Amino acid sequence: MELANFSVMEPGFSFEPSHDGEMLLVRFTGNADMNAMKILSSCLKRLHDEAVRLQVREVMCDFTGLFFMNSSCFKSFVAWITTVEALEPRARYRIRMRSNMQLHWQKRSLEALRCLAEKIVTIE
Amino acid sequence: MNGHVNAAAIRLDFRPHIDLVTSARKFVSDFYEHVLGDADTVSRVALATHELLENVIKYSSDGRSHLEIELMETSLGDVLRIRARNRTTVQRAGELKALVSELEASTDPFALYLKMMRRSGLQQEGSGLGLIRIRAETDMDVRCDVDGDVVTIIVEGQVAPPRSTQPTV
Repeated sequence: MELANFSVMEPGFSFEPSHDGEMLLVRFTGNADMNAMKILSSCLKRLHDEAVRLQVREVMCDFTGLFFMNSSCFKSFVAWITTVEALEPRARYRIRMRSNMQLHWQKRSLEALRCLAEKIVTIE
Repeated sequence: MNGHVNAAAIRLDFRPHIDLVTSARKFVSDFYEHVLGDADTVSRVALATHELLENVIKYSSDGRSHLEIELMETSLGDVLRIRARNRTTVQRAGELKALVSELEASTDPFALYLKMMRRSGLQQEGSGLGLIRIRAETDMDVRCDVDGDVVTIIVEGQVAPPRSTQPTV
């Protein structure tokens, strides 16, 4: 099964998913602000659907090029994580977040997401 | 705050739109990077600035905003205060007062943050997380003053120890 193409390349924000065996990798770049809010929300819903359809064990979110995330976009991640948490244990997948320690907001915001669902979210 | 020296301040009066919020955040970051010299603190100031300005876009009744960021040298250390003032509706002012009261009453902002994240995940519209995110992630206090239809949100916290206790090079 192949991953559907739902990449987004907007000025200021991009979302690039790819499929590698039992893992989906998504690279986020730019600024997740009010301009990106609706796009991100819809992309994360699509990402979840694809993760379930492809029965992956893990989704890796690469935030190393994401300069900022506002609270509305942050909420989209909360909604996604809550949705994964609500799946039956066998259908759940892990969410791994690759952070950039030079972008200081990430350590606090990603840690909050990890604490929301410690069994699902890990940070590296 | 009595007995303080105003070390560095920015005042912005403008009608923010989405792209201007990002520009304002970058400007504030650049400015305070030179003043504070601590990237982690600057990132906290930037986050608070961005969230407050986006609130103006969402809730201001006339679109205008007055934003003031002051760094004050006090005997207790350097204190940073951000004030965002705008006109809004009576309903929004009431909601804001209730929300800020909840933040002020909390003894564990991070636990409240997690609770509000769970609540927000079920909402279809809006996140309602901007102010609690500021409180929990920047470790600064959040207050609000309401005067008729004018709302001022104040974010304030210590960003450096008293200068006399700072190590000299």
